[in-house]
This record gives sequence, C-alpha cells and structure tokens, in this order.
Amino acid sequence: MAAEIALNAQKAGHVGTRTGLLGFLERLLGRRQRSAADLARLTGQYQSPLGDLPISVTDLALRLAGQADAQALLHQAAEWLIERSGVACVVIYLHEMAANRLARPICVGVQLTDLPETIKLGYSIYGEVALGRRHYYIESVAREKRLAPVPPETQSAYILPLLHENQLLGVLGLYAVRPLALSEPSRAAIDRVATLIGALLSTAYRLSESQQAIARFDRFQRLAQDLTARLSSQELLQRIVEAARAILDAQMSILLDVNFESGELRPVAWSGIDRETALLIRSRLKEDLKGLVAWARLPARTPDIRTDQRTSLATQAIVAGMVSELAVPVLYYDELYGILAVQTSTYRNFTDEEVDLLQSLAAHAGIALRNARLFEALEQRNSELQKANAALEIARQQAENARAAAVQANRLKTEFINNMSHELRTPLNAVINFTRLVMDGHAGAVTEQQRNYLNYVHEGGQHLLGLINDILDLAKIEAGKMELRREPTPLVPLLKGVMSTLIGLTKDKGLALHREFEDNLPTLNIDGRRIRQVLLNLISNAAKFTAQGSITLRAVQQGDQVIISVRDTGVGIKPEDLPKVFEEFEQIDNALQETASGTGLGMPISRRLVQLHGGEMWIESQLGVGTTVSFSLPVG
Amino acid sequence: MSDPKAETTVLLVEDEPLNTTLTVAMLNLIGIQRVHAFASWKQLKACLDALPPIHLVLLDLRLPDNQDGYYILRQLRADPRFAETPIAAMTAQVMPEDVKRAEEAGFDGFLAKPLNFDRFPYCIQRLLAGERVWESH
Repeated sequence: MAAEIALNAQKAGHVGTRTGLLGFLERLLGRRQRSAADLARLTGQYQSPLGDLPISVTDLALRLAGQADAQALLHQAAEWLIERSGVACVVIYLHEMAANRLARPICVGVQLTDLPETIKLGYSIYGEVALGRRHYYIESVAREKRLAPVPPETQSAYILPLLHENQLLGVLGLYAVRPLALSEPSRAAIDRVATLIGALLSTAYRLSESQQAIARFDRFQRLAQDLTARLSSQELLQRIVEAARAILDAQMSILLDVNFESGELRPVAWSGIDRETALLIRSRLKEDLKGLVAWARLPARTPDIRTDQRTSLATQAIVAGMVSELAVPVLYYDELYGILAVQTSTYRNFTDEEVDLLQSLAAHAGIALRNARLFEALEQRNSELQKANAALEIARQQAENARAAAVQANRLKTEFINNMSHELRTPLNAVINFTRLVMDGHAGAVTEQQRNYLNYVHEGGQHLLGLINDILDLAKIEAGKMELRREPTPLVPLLKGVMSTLIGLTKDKGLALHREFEDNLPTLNIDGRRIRQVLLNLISNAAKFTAQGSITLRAVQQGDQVIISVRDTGVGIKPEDLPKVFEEFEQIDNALQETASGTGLGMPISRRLVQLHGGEMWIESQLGVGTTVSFSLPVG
Repeated sequence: MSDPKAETTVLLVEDEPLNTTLTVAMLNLIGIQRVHAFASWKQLKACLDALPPIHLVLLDLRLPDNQDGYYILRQLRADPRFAETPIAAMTAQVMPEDVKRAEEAGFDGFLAKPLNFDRFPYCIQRLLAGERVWESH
C-alpha cells in the first residue's frame, strides 16, 4: 500500500511537471499539445502481464516522457528493449521527412559497424518496411540475404515501422540470438512498444520544435527591440530579411514591395544573395507563388519550387540551388505592402510555426514599410507646403503690389484732380472776373447786346467753376477728406437765407417760392455752409425742371430729426429713372432737356453731404405732377 | 475829405501777369490805386527796402524758384515792418489740406481763385480792418 502511494506520488509529480511545461508551451504557441501523461493513459491498455517479456509499457512511458532529445529518447528506448526483451541488438533509423529517407541510425547492444548512414525509402529491408509500413519478421536471417549487416550469431530479426498518427517517424530493427526473444507474443509486445516509441518520438519532436520556438521567440523578441530602436526604414528592412534568413535557417530571404498600379513586386531588401541576383527576382500579382501570396494575402509554402504547380504557371526567377520556399504577405492591418519570402537549398517542409514566425517578422516589415511610405508622404506634403507657402508669399506680394499700386493710383488721381483744379481755376479767374469788369461797364460803356453776350461768357465760366467744385467735393468725399465744420446753427435763418438767395432765380422763371416751416425749428449741430449748398442745389434743380407753378421749401421736426423737403410742380421723373438720380454723372432725360443742364454731380454730392451729417436723402416723384426731394438731419 | 483808400498801399506777389492785371483792376475798382506788384520773391526782395509802408499783402502761393507764398510769408514776418501787416493768400490751390496749411502757416486771410467779384471788395475791407477772412471755394 505504501509502495503504491509512493508510485502515485511519483506519477503525480511527473504529470505535474509535464502539465506545467506543456501548459506554458500551449500558451506560447496557442496550440494544443498532447502530454506524456495522456500518452501513458493511451498506451496503458497494452499493459499486460507477459511471461517471457516483462514489458510494462507504462513503465517505459513514464521513463521516457519529457525527453525532448529524439536521439537520447531512442537510445533509452533501445536499451530498455534490450534489457527487457532479451534481443542482442536494436537499430533505429529516423525518417527525414523533407528528404524522404531514413537516416541517423542508432545502434544499441551489439554494435554494427557497417550500418548505412542513409537509406532511401523502398530500398533494402528498412526502406521497404518504411515505404510499405509493414512489419517484417525474419525467422531465419540466414535466408534473408538482403538484411545486412547483422550481428554475429543472429537467428532472427524483426523490422517494423515507427508510426504515429499515420506518420512514419522511423524504422525499428531488433536482432535476436535467442529465437524466443522474437516469438509471436514478444513481437506483439514489441509492436506495442513501437507504438509507444512512435508516440514518444512524435512528442519529443514537438517538444523540440517548441523549445526551438521558444529560442526563436527569444531571438525574435531581441530583434524586435533592436528594430524599434532604429530609424532608417531601409536599414530596418535589411535587418528583417537577415533575421528571417537566420531564424528560419534559410539560404536566402527577400522582401518585395508591391505596386498596385503596375501590379509589380519589386525587391527592396534581401539577404543571402547578391544585388544582381536579387534584382532579377521580380514578380507580378497572381503570377507565381509570391504573386499569389500578394494577391491572396495568405502565406504559401512549397517544398520544391521547381515542381510546384503554382510556380510553374509563370516564369519565376529561380535562384540557383534553391529548393523550398516560404512566402508571407507583408501587411499593415488590411493593407498590403509587399511580401517576405525565404528559400532553402535543402528540401524542406515549412511548419505552421515557421509560417507564424515569418508572419511575425513580416508584420514588423509592414510597420517599417508603412513608416517609410508615411515618411515619403510627409516629405512630399512638406515640399507641397513649401511650394504653397512660396505661392502664398507671391500672392501676398502681388496683393501688396496691387495695394501699393492702388495707393499710388489714388495719390496720382488726387494729384491730378488738385492740379486740374488749380490749372483750370487760374484762367477761370481771368475769364469770370474780366467779364464782370467789362459787363458791369468798368471798362467803358457796353451795349445791351454786348452785355447779354458777356453774360453768356460769365455763366459759362460760372458753370465750369461749379463743375470743378463739384468734382473736388466728390473727390474729397471719396478720399474721406470731406471735413464738416459743425457748429450750432439755427435752422430758420439758414432756410430763410437760402430762400432769399434764390428768390431772384425763381422770380425770373415766373415761379412762386413758398415757405412751409414754423419759426420754432431747432438749432442743429451742422456745417451750415454744406447744408446751404445742399438746399441751393435742390432748389436750383427744382427750378430747372419746373416750367410753371411753384417750389415749396418745407421743414418739420419729427422726433429727434428734422425733415426738410423741396417740392416742385415740375415735369416729374419716371419711376424707373428715380434710382439714377443719386448716381454720379447721371442726367435724367426729360421734356425740359433744353433747360436741364448741370454737372450730374449735384444730387450725389448733396446726398453724401447729408449722409456725412448722419441723415438720409430720398426722392418721390410723379410724372407730370412734380417731384419732392427730402432729407433728414438729426437733432442734437 | 479824401477817400482813405487812396492812401492804402497793397503789395501783390503774383507770377501770372493776367491775374496781376485783374487783381490790380479789381483793387482799383474799390479805390485802391497804390498796388506794388512783383512776380517773385527775387524781384520783391530787390525792392523791399525801397517800398513805402504796406497796408495789405496779397500772396499767390504757387510761385517759382522754390520760393512760394509760404516762403515769402516767413520772410516778411521776419521783417519788423510786416510783423503786424495783414497778409492774405490768394490762390487756386483750394483743397482742404491747402486751406489748413495756409491757416497753420499764419496767413490772415485766404482768397480762393477765381476771386468772387461781388465779395472781393468786402473781403479786402475786412482784411484792411485787421479781420480774418477765409474764402475757400
């Protein structure tokens, strides 16, 4: 009882250890591994008391579980077989899957010196057993000449395949001096042992793969840390292809960039080959293995490039000596940047784990390529920004030039107007005043007719002067130089003054000039001279367009403003012509065209002067009835 | 009793002969017979010491040799004989900045050209009376 507990404890200890390591590996690789304990349970069914061959398969399973070194495992298994089954010699060949041959023979017990290093599948007894997966019992080795070498005095031999889950792992050979050692029950037991060895060997392979994976993962981690510290994309890509080649024990590796516009794959980094060779390796989307990888965005592997149907579809540049290939897409999220491929000069079936590893490297390459593209885009954007900046600077300069030109033009315009004013005023001074001198008889007697003619000259001069003054006023307003000399001005005297100035004019035309304002109008803070100018203009205009009837000057206070209006019984203005009244140099066609002369500036100037005072001017008219021009002035 | 204007002496600087003739005629019309007219500061300066007492100075502003009305005003004001004499600008430069400049320079009057025939006598009388006269256009 105590012994059993001890054994269980020992078992538990073993199982615990196994589970711990395998669990770690499972976590690492994300893949389910069968534990040695599972195997022990699996093979436990074979445990049976055997008289002549005290083989406890469970015992062997417990003894060998956890042995990751295939050679050591087989040595131990062979020694165990010799010890328990009583055979003289045990030979085990391992199956090399990539090369499809038997190799690395081990021999325990009586040493056989001439064992061939490799045996092709189908050749010799071992090769036949491997290929046919048949158990071959040779009762009398003397009669089977093909079995060589054999230990001396060997009577019988038993050659059988080491299989696991239908996979050939190797071939086991037992040589017996005593025929009983390979009796039928013994062979049956040996078969079970072989099954166990197959399972253990398979586990050992996976364990070794896992340990390799751990080692690779470590290297990969170190590389990744190394890579992130680097800045140059090209350098990074170079490191990646070198790492891919080193980690996967490949003879060459290459990274191709994909151009979706042309569909071309172009080498950007390589290892294990020279530049000339590398530049020959080009591909197109879908065209060969690399092209297919790029197109499907899935990894692809081939043990033999030369015979792979996918590669034979197109002319793939096959680098001399290369046999197997593994290619994976270089992706950044869903975006394809290229493909990463490794090739080996030996026949090789790449494992899933190796595919995963290369994909991990490709992910780093993806980041690097993406960074490189982003950097390029950034550079381009930078240069575009610089160009845009330059263009902006040019535009700014042009705007500045335009502004300077406008300022200059404005200055020239003002200068021109000033000069024109000065140059016209000087002769006008002579024309107007000499005319008056003669006209008024200061230079001798003048006839009635002479006086009339001189009056025309005088009026012409006055008109010209009015025009010049209007243009100057307008220029001043436009240049913002029209300054009002505001002072408290009683409105009534101003209105009365205007009326007395124009009473002569209206009387001459036979028009009545009516007053419609009370004596209690307020005093306004205005430039009296300018408001007088406005009123003179409005009333002379009214007189100009009125053949008969009257002109009425009206003024009334309405709240915080005074409304002043000039009403006539003249020809009136067509509604469509009303807006033109305040436009510069506009003369409205009318029935009194002959008498309607003027500069066309009076109304625009009047309106601007009113606006400068903070008031507004408007016009109402009825054709044939008359026109009323009104304006407001703020009180206070 | 003789007209006091007969004794009134006016100094005129004007480079445009036509305007000189006109101004003299208009002054004559209001009884001022003594008008000393010069076309530039150069001419005036040469005769300055020989001039009788002056009651009113009328200066054109735009004059040759970079010696314009403002220059002459400064020269005359520096002369004690003209310290109190009314000096008026008589000019066709009538923009607001011109009027302002004349005011700041120390002119006593501003007569815009063309001269207002009807207001001219009144302006001259007021100037002679020592009043400021600003007749911009």
